[in-house]
Amino acid sequence: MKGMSRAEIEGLRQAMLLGTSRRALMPPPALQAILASKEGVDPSLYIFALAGQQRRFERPSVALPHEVPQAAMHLHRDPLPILPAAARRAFMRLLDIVGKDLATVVIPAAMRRVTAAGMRLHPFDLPRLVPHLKASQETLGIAERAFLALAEAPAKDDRPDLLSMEITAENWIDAPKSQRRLFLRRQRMADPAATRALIESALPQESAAGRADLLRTLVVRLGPDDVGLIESFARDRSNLVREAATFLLARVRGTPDHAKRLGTAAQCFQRKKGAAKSLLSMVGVAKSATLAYIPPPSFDFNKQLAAVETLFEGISLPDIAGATGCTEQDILDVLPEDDVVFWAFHATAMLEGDTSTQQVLTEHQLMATRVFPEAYTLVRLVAAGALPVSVPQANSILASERWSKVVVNASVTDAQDFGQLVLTAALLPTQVLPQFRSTIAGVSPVASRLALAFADIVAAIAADRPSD
Amino acid sequence: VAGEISGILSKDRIEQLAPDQASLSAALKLQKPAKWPVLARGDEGDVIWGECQGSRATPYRVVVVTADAGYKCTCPSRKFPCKHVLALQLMACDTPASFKPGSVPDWVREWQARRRPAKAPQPNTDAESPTGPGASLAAAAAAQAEEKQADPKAAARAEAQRQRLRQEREAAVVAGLDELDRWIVDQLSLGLAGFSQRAPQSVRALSARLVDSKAQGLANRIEMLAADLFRAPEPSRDDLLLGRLAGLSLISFAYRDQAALPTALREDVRRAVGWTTRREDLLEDHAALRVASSWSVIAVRSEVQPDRLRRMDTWLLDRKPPPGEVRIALLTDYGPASAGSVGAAFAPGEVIDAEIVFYPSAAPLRGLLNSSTPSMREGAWPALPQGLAAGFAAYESALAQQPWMDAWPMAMSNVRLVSLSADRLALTDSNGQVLPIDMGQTSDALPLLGLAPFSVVVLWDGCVAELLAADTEIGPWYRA
Repeated sequence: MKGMSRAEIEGLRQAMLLGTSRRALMPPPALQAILASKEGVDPSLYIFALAGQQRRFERPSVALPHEVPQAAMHLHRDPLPILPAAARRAFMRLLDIVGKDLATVVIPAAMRRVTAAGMRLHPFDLPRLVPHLKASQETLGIAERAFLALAEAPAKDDRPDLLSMEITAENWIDAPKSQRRLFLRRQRMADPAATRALIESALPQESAAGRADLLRTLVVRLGPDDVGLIESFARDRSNLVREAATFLLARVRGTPDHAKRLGTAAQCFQRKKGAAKSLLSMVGVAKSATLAYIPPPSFDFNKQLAAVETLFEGISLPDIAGATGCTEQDILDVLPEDDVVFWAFHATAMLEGDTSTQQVLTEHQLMATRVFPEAYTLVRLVAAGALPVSVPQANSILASERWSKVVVNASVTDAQDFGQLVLTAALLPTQVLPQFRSTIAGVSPVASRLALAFADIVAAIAADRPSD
Repeated sequence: VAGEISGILSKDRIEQLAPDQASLSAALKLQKPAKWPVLARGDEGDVIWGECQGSRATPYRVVVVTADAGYKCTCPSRKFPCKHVLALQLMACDTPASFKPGSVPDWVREWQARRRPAKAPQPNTDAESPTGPGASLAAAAAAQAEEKQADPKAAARAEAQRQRLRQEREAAVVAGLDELDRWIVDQLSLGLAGFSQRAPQSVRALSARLVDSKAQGLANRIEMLAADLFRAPEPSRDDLLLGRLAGLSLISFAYRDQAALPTALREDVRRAVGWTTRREDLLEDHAALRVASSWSVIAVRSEVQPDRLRRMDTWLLDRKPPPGEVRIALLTDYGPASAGSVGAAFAPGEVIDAEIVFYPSAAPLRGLLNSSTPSMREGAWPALPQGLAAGFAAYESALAQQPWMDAWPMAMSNVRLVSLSADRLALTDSNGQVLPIDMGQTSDALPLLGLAPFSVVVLWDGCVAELLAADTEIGPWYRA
């Protein structure tokens, strides 16, 4: 095809695009000899075929590319080690086999295990995990945040807020809201007064939604020292901010309002008249026979539930234990299983970052209820980010008759696991998972494979970090 | 596999072979010896078989060759492999002791005898002629051949009949090519700028006429055109259309002028039109190019063609090519689209030691697996030529050899990924040359941004490149 110039080709191309009925294809000199030898054939076909073919040899000419976005650089600069190959394979296998209904709980739980081991997911796996990354923004690391920024705007750094390498007291204000919340909650756990000062200095520059958001982070280790700041916003022009202030003021321990609500809530736990505490219950070996849970009476069950929920909002298990003079275990023991008060305690512990109470509640749910929790209860625990129970508790769970019944049940049916096994695995510590595997060895593979896949991830991570 | 059963079966591979999760779940439920009145293995542990009580009066007979995961089940399922095959394979992994050694029964022997020479696991056993004979029909054909030898007159009659059919088809194809030429001239007259609007209707009508003319290959190309245009970036659509229609014209010219073409190119043009080469014929063709080497599986992709066949492409990269060369092979298998997804025989990253027999071509690419043994999970890539220019040169050379090819794999090292726009990525090299990437891959390819220069294999059609695999500082990347 030597001899057809670029201009000639472009002229032919224009004619082909416009239509040869409008602009005839004029054969360039280089083609005339060929066409002369092809009598009886429509010359336009020859010209078209050869010109079209010559264009296929042209290399793409695109304007100079943009620079690589900053987010892409951050994606690969995260200092955390990437999940080792075996753990990565196990993780992707879990992602492949988990159903949509459980994925939203099980995958974040697996991601938390990766983070807890001080590792990060392989960057090449992140595109498949975008929905889970978006749903767990508070706990994302540098690479995951950078990938989300990249996924939103691959060409430019439209989301600088997602790109901070490490959130500090100097740059937290520029971080995305979810990251700010996480940072402030952590800071509050360590130093409530200094964090309050940080928040106070940032509040004037914030929008109404931002002010409300920042104020609500004071809920962690909330105390009388915070009242002054909160009260100064109780008459804010924004309803959102006023609501946040009211929410907080009702929770400040030691204030008359809180004391009144706590008193009312504590009245739901009454000692039975005339009943003496048994010796065993006094030393914590037997359940207290003297305590009863009596919610405020109502003719309407739903109204009663709503009233109890409102009453216990923001009241913690230790608060009630203190107010009633009972142990936390006594309180939990008298609550009906899966009661709204239990979940109110759970929500308060989560909100306030009280991990020890969270653990007490999780262990109670797994250990002390009449039957082993069903999948829907475990989903609530795991979705709330419940930490694995302690090793002794985990051993007790696996040795319990309630757990044996779960295993027997799973062994006699061919039904898949609707979450009971895999979510139990998610609530067990690494050290106990080999024992967990052996307890479900006889379970149908249909039922056990999700749980085993989860255990595989944890085991592969542990194998890479034998010292942990 | 533990115990006395040898071969390549592993849980990972079985899960990968499963056409979907539902099949796997169903197979897991069948993993109970009580449901298998017969479970046995050959003395050498290379074949296992069983009888599974299903919903029919007689049990389904299932056989699996453990060396290559080849299988057969008598159940009527349209999933390949079915749950019975998967269950048998899983049991071979989990409870090998439940397979008692025994003499191979006749029905297993019969099936083994009928199996074609291919040693690789094949979701669908017929490569070149997807709608053609299956394993059992191959046996029938062999029986017919024996018959012919016994009766020379019948053989002559059959040969004459074949010749007549062949001539009729040749005439029909040429008539189809006339239609194609007229259609292209019409499109040129109307102008290609407005093609996208009239494409769906116009393309469907021509495709139907080409199918009638027994030029199925051309019909598929025409039908794919509308979809490919839609996938291509707006600015390059005109050129893609121009290139594809020009390619069709070239096929038309070349087919009419076959006698003047070199043998390999003649084979190419006939295949492009729709003529097929039987698998057995190719494997027995001693003149065919054969390459025995260590191959990396770099991509597996499944696509439903306009003719409702699912095409499964497996791309292999030769890990030990002659110095200075890059060798890539494409294995293609077909199955009915109605059967749903079919499990892939290989997984990207796998390394196999195999002999590949290439279809005769001026630019050999597509081949058949003649023998293979799995080697390792992942292996290093060979040294690839540096920069995009090397890849373009390989593409241009192949295009010069085989002018109507749609796309060609380009392998090169020392390239980086950059963003061109919000939804557009491109490969670039130290010379500033760029290679735009298929927009459909943007989100999957994002993690390649920001990495140090890496090696890559792409499928380039002259307008847009599809990333097949990359070998990077943080490990291999494979297309989703």
